[in-house]
Amino acid sequence: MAQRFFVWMGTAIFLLALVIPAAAQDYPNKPINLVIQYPPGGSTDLTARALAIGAKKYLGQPVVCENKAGGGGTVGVALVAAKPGDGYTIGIVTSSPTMAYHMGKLNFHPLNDLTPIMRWGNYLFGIVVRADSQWKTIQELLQYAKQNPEKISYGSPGVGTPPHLAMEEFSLVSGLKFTHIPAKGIAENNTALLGGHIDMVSDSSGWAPLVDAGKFRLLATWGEKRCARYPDAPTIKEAGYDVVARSHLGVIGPKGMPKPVVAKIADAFKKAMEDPEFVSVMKKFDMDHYYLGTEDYTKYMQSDFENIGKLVQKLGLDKK
Amino acid sequence: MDLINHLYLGFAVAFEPLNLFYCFLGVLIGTLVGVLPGLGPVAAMSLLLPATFHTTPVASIIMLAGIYYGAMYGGSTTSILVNIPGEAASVMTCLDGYQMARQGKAGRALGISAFGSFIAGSVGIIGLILIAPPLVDFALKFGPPEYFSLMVLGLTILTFLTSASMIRALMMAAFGLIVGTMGLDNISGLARFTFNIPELLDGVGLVPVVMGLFGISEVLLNIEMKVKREVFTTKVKGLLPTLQDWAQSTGAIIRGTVLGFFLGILPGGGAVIASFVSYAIEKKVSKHPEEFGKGAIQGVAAPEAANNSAAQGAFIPLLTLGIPSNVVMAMLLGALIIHGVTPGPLLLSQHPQLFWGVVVSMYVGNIMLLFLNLPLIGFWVQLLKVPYSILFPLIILFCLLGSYSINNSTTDVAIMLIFGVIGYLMKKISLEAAPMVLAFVLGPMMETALRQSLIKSKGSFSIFFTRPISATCLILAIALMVIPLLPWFRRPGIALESEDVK
Amino acid sequence: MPVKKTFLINDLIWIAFAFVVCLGGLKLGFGSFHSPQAGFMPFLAGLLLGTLAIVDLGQGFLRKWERDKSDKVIWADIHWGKLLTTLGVLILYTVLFSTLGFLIGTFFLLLFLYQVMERRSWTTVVIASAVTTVLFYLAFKIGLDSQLPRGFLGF
Repeated sequence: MAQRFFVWMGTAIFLLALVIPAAAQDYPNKPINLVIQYPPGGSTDLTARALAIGAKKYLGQPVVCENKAGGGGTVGVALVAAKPGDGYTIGIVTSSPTMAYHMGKLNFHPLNDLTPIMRWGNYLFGIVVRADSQWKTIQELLQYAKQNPEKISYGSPGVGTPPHLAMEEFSLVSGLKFTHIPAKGIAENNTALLGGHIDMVSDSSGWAPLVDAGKFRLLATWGEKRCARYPDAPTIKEAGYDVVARSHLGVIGPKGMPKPVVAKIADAFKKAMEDPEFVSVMKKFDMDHYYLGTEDYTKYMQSDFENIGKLVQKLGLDKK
Repeated sequence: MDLINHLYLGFAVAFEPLNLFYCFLGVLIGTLVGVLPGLGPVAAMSLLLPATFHTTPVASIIMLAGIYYGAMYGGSTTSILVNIPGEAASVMTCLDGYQMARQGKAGRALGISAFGSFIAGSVGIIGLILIAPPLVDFALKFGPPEYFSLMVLGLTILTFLTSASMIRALMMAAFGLIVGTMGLDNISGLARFTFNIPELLDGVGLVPVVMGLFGISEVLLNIEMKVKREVFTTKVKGLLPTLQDWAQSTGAIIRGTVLGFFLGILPGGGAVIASFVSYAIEKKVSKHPEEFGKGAIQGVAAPEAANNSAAQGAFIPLLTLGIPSNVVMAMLLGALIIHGVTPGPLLLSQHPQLFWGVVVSMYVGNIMLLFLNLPLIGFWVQLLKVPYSILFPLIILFCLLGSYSINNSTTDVAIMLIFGVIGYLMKKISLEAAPMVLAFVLGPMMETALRQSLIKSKGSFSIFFTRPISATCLILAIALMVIPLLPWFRRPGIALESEDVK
Repeated sequence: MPVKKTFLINDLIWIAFAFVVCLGGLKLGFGSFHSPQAGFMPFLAGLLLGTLAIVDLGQGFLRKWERDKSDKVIWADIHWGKLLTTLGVLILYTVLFSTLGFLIGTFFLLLFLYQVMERRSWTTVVIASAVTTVLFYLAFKIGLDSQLPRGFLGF
């Protein structure tokens, strides 16, 4: 009897022993989940998906995209932060969670609760007015604003979004005052501007088709340099004010991810950035390639965190 | 005439075998998606978007559009059969459609819903072709003050939805307003009533709430019965709408179509509001308003027509200006960009085959849907003959999985269950869910519009009255509230308070 | 005075709820009519709800409750056991959904649901549950590519 028992036990242990090392095989040995923190069909979603499709080739496993939109881009990131750091759940991030954190609206820490993997893109933000408006250049707009404080109304994609904070920072630096009318995305802003309900819009490049069609005029962009697609539009920096809209697009994972896993993912995504399909999608949305490897990205997140913290404090938006 | 040439081009494009195939695929998937509660057209579209990379832009848009209006057809099916709105826009169809199903008239309800949707869809397309540009200009004039006044008008309409106590209906509306405030406040950025649950940052989802309030509560109601009660009569009274049904529904379909179309064009308006308002108006103009809620066929015909023509109307801002009026259109926008087609005012001139091909294929799609849905009616009616004790676990499972798959989150399932219990209790005490849902949908929009208007006017309320459109809406709203109270306008049969009429 | 307990409790619950909402609204910051803040709408909606509930309560006491169904009618013949256990099972399913995984969780859920309304033989129920679970799995996972959770057992 006892013999029988030990034979079974032995077999069981033997079988288990076979299974356990199998579980510790090389990463990745099953599909990876990529959480996209904005709704499907938008610029973040479509470019991230193109990147994921490219990365699959270099990782050997499919990268399955999931949309978890909400909270201005924070819900998806929060969900990633709550998962185990085994490399099978990663997510897309922008500067929004950092901004939300400093405004007291985030229940996790964007540096300590996340593992930065790499950075890949940036949005194009700009200031547009209607083509038939009285301001033909950014200088004319700013002149008017000087003489008429708070008279010009502008739409942004929401409180705490990069185009909004950029305008606030600009107000601080220039002393010019505008009236902010927050909306819920570029579509609402476009509609409001077309209907003449607001005077200008500060938002990401969803206004491009209307600029091309001659309904809107792009007065200035918020980047460090002029953008390739609209070389005639100056940057706010050129206009004389050292303000640049802060945002970026990166890949992150939950905290505590092992370094070799991070390296593998970062490498695959970096190579995917060269993929022709990714390149063409980014072009269509006027988004710039904005690569930083893991180490540099970690430093960038740090400095982003500090800079945004200071900005939010200066603007009095911190609710802590 | 130019139009004939355009239409000719459109037909040529739409009838290309590839496009026909994708059209059929789209409406088929749309119907399936609409029937499955919870899963909406957006989910299906986002799953299929990558698959469209390998075909032409025209075929992709045709398919994706087909999914959208196909889902409108499918959503009515579950509303009628099991009181579960497959889609928010099908909520009103539940009220009378389900009652008709219980009376053995499911076939007729499904039939009138399919035909009504078809007529409305076709008329909507004609409207799209003929009057799109001037309409869009008009729609653009709707700024925050106009939206606010329109919403106020919409909420006064809700008083027509009630059969019983006005006070109780307004209480439900207030409740709806409160639930609508949950989530991240767009203007100030503060989280309201989210109890630190990240999934609630975007507010409570409409679909789980509606599935709970209508679907789960109905199931719970049927489970509790000690006395065995036949939920559905086995005697089926006719598979297709009778001539009398048609006679009664014609007006409803016409009114629903017109209303839905205009509301669909307004960015942010749309099928949900259209279905509510058309139901209320039907009830108001009916000679037998007390039948509504008990199986009046106009109560099915009107909202169904409205939500389909609203679906067609919603394409207009996208195709003429490149502005999406709802989430589905936003997806289509993304799809267009991915395919290298820049949506915007130049779409029509730069890609005429796309524009006209899509427009004509919508008509083709509507025809396909009619042929898809009508034969299925027989099948659905048979399904209802399955004993309820076997049917209801399937219903529950559909609801659970449907609400889960919206966001892959059990929070949505929990919300659905909570509202299921609330709905159950409400049904016991005869508190009505419809006013709550309408207020829940309108509330947030109204609040945003109000605050944006006040920011713009720097606190002055006159902004609502100095702008013509806004003033008109508000005056209408006040009139609607006041007129029923005036003695010479009172009609017998319309209950204001349940006690006044007996 | 026809006090209908159900309706009395109903109104009291709404009044209490409205009160809590108003407090929440004030905490969020009411602002003013000239510049409404986040708490503006919640407070006003709560106020509206509370006022209406009080009016309803008042009307009830003034004999209007006569029109409502009696307590006995509403709560007659209710199989509390069935109702509550069903709810309990549904809640349990929701909570354990991710841990158990779709297949196991749904199987057990159906085992229960298939017999709630009518007692059946165990064999029938087990087979029916298994078949249903598999069919739904095929439909949702393969047909719609939904992301259904795997439980701790890996499936």
